[in-house]
Formats: sequence, C-alpha cells, structure tokens
Amino acid sequence: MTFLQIDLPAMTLAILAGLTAALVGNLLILRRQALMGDALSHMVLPGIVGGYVISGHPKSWAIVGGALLAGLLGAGLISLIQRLGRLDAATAMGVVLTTMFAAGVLLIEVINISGIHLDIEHALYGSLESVIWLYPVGWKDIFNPAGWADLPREIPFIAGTFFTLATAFFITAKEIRLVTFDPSFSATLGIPFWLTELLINCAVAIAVVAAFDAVGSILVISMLICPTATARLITNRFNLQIGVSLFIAAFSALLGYVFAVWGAPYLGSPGAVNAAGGIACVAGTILVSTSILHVLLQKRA
Amino acid sequence: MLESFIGALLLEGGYNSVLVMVGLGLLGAAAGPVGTFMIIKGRPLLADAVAHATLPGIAAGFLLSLFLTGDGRNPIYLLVGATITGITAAGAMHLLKDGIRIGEDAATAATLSVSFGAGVVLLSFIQNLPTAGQAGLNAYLLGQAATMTQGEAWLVLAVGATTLLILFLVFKELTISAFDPIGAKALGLPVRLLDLLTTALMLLIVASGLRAVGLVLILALLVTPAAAARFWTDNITRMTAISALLGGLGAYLGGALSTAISGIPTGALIVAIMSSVFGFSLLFAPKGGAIAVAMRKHRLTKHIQRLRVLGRIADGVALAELIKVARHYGWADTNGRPTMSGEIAAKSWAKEEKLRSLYLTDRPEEANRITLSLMPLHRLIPRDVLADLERRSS
Amino acid sequence: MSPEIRALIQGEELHAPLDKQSPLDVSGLTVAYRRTPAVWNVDFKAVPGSLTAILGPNGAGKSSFLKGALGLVPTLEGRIGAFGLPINKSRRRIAYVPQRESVDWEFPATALDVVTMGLYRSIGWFRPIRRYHKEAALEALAQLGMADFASRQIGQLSGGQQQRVFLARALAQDADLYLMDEPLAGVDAATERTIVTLLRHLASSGKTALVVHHDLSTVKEYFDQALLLNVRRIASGSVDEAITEDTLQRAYGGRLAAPQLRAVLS
Repeated sequence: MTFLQIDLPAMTLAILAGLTAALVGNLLILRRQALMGDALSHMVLPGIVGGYVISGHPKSWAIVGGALLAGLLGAGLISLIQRLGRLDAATAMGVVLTTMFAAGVLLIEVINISGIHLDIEHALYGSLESVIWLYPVGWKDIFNPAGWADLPREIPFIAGTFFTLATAFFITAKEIRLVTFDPSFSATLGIPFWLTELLINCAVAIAVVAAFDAVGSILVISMLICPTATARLITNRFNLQIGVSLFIAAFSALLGYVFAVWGAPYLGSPGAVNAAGGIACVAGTILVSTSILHVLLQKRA
Repeated sequence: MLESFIGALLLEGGYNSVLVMVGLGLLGAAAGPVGTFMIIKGRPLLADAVAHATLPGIAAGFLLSLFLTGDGRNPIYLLVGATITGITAAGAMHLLKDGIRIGEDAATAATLSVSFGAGVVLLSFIQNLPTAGQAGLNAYLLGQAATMTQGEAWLVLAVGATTLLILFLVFKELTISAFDPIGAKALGLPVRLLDLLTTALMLLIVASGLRAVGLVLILALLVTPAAAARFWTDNITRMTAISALLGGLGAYLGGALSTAISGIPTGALIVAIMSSVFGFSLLFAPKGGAIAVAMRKHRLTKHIQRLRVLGRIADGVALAELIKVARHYGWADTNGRPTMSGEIAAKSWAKEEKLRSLYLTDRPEEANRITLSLMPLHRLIPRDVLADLERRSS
Repeated sequence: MSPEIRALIQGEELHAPLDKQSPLDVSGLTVAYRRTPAVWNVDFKAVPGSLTAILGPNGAGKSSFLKGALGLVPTLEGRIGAFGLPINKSRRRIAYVPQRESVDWEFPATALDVVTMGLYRSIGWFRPIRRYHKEAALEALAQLGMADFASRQIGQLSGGQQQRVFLARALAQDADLYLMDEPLAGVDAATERTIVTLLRHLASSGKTALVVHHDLSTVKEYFDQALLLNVRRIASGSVDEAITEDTLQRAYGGRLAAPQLRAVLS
C-alpha cells in the first residue's frame, strides 16, 4: 500500500499548496502585479534559511517569521529603488530578487559548512517526494485520529495556513475588492497604500513559505499565477474568479502529480519524474490552452 | 583565501580561471549596455523568463547529445538547446501577452515558472537514466565557474568579445533607437532590426553565461549594473558606458572571487558583488543616491518654510506672531522687531520672487525647473536675460 | 529640541490659522515627488457651495494638487484642512473621483459593485453588504442614467459610461466636498451634459466641488470659481477674476494660441 503512505500525503500536500498559492495569487493578478509573486518567491529564501538556522528544524514558526521579514524587507527595497532610481517596478524587482536569492544561496553554503543540512535543490524544486505517512496500512486507517499525529508535519502546517488565509479572505472579501480595484480611492476612505501593500505582501509571503516545501521557490510562481490568470480568462465575476482559480489549482496539482508518477513511465522514463515540475507543466498547459481558446472564441464573436 | 583572491585578480590563477575571468569581464561589460536597453524598452525581466526557459533546452540538449554521442556533456548541444527553448519562451511570452487579458507581467511570471517546471521534469527524467555523467547539469542552475572546461571557458570569452564588438560597432544606433525610437525612425534607422539585435544579444549573453553564472541569477548581469548606472547620471551615453564599466568590473571580480572560494556557486558570488556595487550607488551616488536625495528634500523643505515665513511677513502678519520662527532665523529680536538681517532677507526675497514670476510669465514652460531649484535666479538663467528682467521690474 | 525648531517642524507658524468655514483650506502645499508634476507652495481656499475648476497646462500639477491635498502622494510641506478640521478627520465628508485611466477596467466587477464601494464607510469595515445598500447604490446609478447597466461588467462600458459609474460612486458617498480629477476628459457630449447637470445639482444643494478641467472654452459656462496652476498658483477666485489674458499668458505662455485665448476671454 505505498499509495496510502507515499502518494496520498504527497497529493494532499500538492493540492493544499496549490489552493494556498492560487488564493493569494488572485491578489496579485487582480492588481496586475504578477511579478511581485516572482519577486517574493525568490526574496523569502534568506528568511527561510535564517529561520531554519535559528530554530534548527525545517518546520517552525521561525521560518514563517523569517520569510515574512525577508519578504517585507525586499518589498520595501523594491519601492525605495523604484522611487530613488526612477526605475520601473520590474527592474527594481530584478535587482532585489537576485540579490536576496543570492544571499539565501550563500547562507545555505555557510550553514552546510557548519553542519546543518539544507540543500539548494530542495529550495529550487521542493521535496514533494520526501513526504511520507507511515501510519496507514488500509483505507480505514486514514480516518483514525490515532494516525493523524503521525502525519508529515508539512500537511497540518499548510492546511492550517490555507484555512487561516481563506477565512481572512472570506471576512475581508469586500475590502479586498476595494483595494485591488482602486487603491487611491481606498486611500481616501482611510486604508492607506502602505497598509494595502503590506497586507498583500504578507499574504503572498505566507503562502509562498507554506507552499515552499511542496514545490520549491520557483515553481510556486506557477501555482500563484497560472490558475488565477486562467480564471481571469474564464470569468468576469469576482466570486467566480476566486472559485475557478482554486478549482484549477487543485485540479492541476492532482493531474500533475498523477502525470509525473504514473504517466511518466509510459513516456519512456524508467521512474517517476519530478512531481512539482509536472504540476507546473499542467498548470501552464491549462493556461495556454485556455488563452488560445479565448482568442479563438473572441475572433468568432 | 585573500591571497588566492588577490592572485586571481592579478591573473595568476590557472590558465582556465584566467580565461573564465576575462571572459566574464567581457560578458559583464556587454551585458550592462544590453540591460540598459532592455530596461528602456520596458522589458527588464524578459531576460529572466528566457534564462529560466533555457533549463528544458539544456536538459533536452543533454539527452540528444547522450543519444547521439554517448556523452551528455557536450557544451555545444547544451548551448543550442538552451538557445532554442530560450527563443521559444520569448515567443510564447509575446503570444501570451497579446492573449487579451493576461498582461505582460503575468505572461512573464507564467512563462518563467512553467518552462522551469518543464526543465525540472526533464532533469528528473535524466536522473532516472542509468547512464552516469548527469551531475554536471546542476552547474547550470547557479553557475560553477571553477569546474568549467577549457572549451567552455573559451566559449564565454568568445561570446563576450563578440557581443562587445557588435555593441561597439553599432553603439550609437542602438542607443538612439532604444531611447528615442521615433527620432531614430526619422533618421532612417532600421528600428525593428536594431530592436531584434538587442534581444538577440541578450539571448546570446544569457545562453553563454549560463554555465558560469547559472540561469537563476544571470538576470543580475543584465539588470543590476544598468539599474546602478541610473543613479550616477541622466545622460544616456554616459549611463550606458557606466553600466558597461560596472558590469564588467562586477563580473570580473565575481569570477576572481569564485576561483578563490571553491565550492560556492559563482552566480551567487557575482550577484553579491554586483549588488554591493548597486547598493553603494543607491546610497552614495552624488546626484541620484539616497543620501543626496534626502538632503535635497530636506533643503527644499527648509527653503519653502523660509519662503512662507517671509511671505507671511510680507502679507502683513505681525512679526510678533511669527516670533519663534523669525528669531530662529535671526530675522527678529526678542521684542519681535525685525533685525537688520530680517529686513535684508525680506527685501531680497521680495526681489527674487518678483524676478521669478516675471521670468515665468515669459517662459511658463520652465515652471518646473525654475521653481524646484534652490539656486537664486541669476544662477539659472543667462546674464543678459536677467539684466532684461531687472530693467523691466524696476 | 528647541521650541523654535519644533514649531518649524510642526509648521505651526508657517500657515495662517485653519479657516473654519472653507470646505478645503490648503496652505503651502508642496509636492516634489519623482515622476509626478510638481506643486509649489500653493495656498487655496475653496468657497462653500461653489464649483471650482482647476486649470493649467499639462504637467502643471493639477492632479498632483488634488492628490497632495488628499494625502495620496507624499508632500514636502503643506497644511491641509477640510471643514475646519485636519483632512484626516474629515474624510467622511470628502468624495474623490480619480482619473478614469487610474484603474484597471478589466477588473471582475459590475457597475453596481463599483458604486457600492462608495458606501463602504457607511456599511462599516468587515460588515456584509445588505440589500438596502445595494438599493442605495442603484439609486446613485439611476441618478446618472445608468440603472440599466448595473449588472454589466465595467470593462464592457464605454468611456463615458465608466465615468458615470465613477461619479455615481462619489454620489453614493453622500459627501459635502467632491474632488474630481478630469471627469470630463474624453467623454461624449451627452455624458458631459449629465455630469455638468449633476455638478450644478450638487452646488445648488450646498455642496462644493473641485474639478480638474482641461477645456478652457467651457470654464465660464460650467464653473463659478477657478484655480489656475502652473506648478505655482497663478491665480484663484471667481472665474472672471482668475481668468484674464494676463493670467492665462502666465500659465500657458506660448502654449496657448492667440485665437484660443480670444475664444476663452470673449
């Protein structure tokens, strides 16, 4: 029963990671700031490594705190550079994201010298494959609370993150609509720009850290952007936009994993291929085919 | 470590490392101006998308070379593969961007991560193969200059020298068409062709720099020196030249550092140096740096506050009401009576205001420049114009 | 810190006391933010119940003046008051209509969604939108002749209709001071008439509006007060006082051709 012990927890983790990323990805896409997702997913790396060093193990609140700190520092630097250098946001992001990612890489090298292990490949690709739940032997065991304590720590962690973010999203849906649509109007109502930026960047940074284990720092961008951009093409309604993006994210995660693990051997691979990469490919394929369909439909209309 | 760094700087390292360092220096010097042009054209992160998209090409090149020659690490195959998928990604991004509502930023982010995902899948496919020799591919992620073969080193050197030469030959044309495409068209320059050339040079730099700098961080080679140059000057020719200088120097130093510290990814070291140069520019550049701007802002604020006090004096607000501020500047004594210097200040303020408003009546389009300058008017306009204004105002 | 310097920092003595009557009292507003046109040391008091046009050439800082007054861009100096209070304490009484280009009209929202945003303060943060809020929003839309378009996605509206939606949102705020950034730019003739009628209606019910305006030929017809800017304040007051050959020359210079000038002044 390797399915229950290896594939089920990995699939659950992938789906939860996809849901979390797609949820906050909406904030980015609706504000036309998709590149901030790119930037933040790179910039949190030194924070994650720093949190790891402080706490000594790979799943702790210190890592979330470190990532938040690094993300906010990076976002602050980006806006400072933009303002002082009269540079566009993308250029400032390019400078800051390479700087902070390199800082993370150097930090990892320094740590490895001092004996704690954290490798750069984990940071780049995630480690979906290493998630194992030893407890269940049969399907019935899944529902046995006694086994839940054995769940890989990643899963309750990301599930908690997703439900917290989703609750916050639900409560503030009205305000989110306001600040993503018209930030200067919302500033005149008393929600200043900096607060909007701060909260959105925090939400994205949290989602990035939570999804980091599953898909790594670069592939998380595809979970932030692809499902939400696809949903933009499908619907014009705010609530549907969120719903559709979540559905596509979960679907891509599932399909990507199935493809990577059970589909790859049919394509000549001796074993399973990287599942996170597979998920990104599926999400990208959905986006591209939807946009082609969209263009064709518009030409017809 | 310091000794070997200094040794490397003086080109006393091995033959290979000298080649790599000189090659990186040339490549960096070429990347600065190309990055400047990409920023001006509003496509600074195209290079990032293209760089990440080379991963599937590298993996595919490896597979092809393995299939054809029995050894996967033939750099030509990898380079060709990288270039092909890089171009494909640039094209795909172009299509996605025009795909109605996706927008350029989403297209960039999606292309970057999805093509990287495809590369990761192929890499894991390669790792599953029983054949040995795939370990070298990881060097393409973050760069590993120290383990480059002589052939790879020569490649960097050759591409660096070639791109630099091309830049040198058509520097003027590229600069004009990047900064002023309409004007360039009027001059009869082939703007679209030059645009394509810039993108091609960018691709060439990215593809050839992968092995040494790595695809995750090679963006810094193009963007960081170009962005740093912005802080030093507003003159476009000088800006481009400075970006070449900073880029060349940063890449050269980074290369030297990585030969001195083995085992650490070259990309991270080069970025560390480039970003330090950038940080220095951001803080200390005499005109555009943070400190200079903060000081200028402070002076502007103080200036306007003085103007307001003098203005209120002129409006007939009793000096007694303003006594604290006026005394702070020495414009009033303890009884609130104007001092000598207060009278002089008020008089010269009134005169300057009159001249400024007279000048702006003639030239309203100069309002921004004249008003925001702290210098007295006689430093801002020609002497004969000033003399004319003075004659008319009296 | 010496009291003198503290007084300087707080700007106590740099500005005349706040006018209790004026809906907007701006003193010494200075904006010198990179990339936005500058505003230099501008003093201005809005007359209650007036329609004021903010005029000036391109890059004269008209939008920056409004944004600076509202605190949307960093200011170097300036004391802004509204209805005798600092601006931050009177936000409830102020409605802002941004430039139409400042938002993404592809955003997944209906016309009604956008107008409802004008009610958010009265709904209260984190509280749900009730049916009577939607009805109030619908009424505001109806006042601008847009009731039939309530459930239309905003991207499917014409430029003039989008502008009407923005004005309906401001109307829904039920404010006493309206700050509008180029509401008449690029709209069709019918929309222009509707908006001008709305402005007159606002003024006749004692509200005040400051409107960034670009069309000199209609100023005298639409507005009773004017503020002429070119980085500095060139003139302000009643339209006839503020707009003369001399002031227009000082604001626009060679950018205003002589026939145009005559058309405005005649």
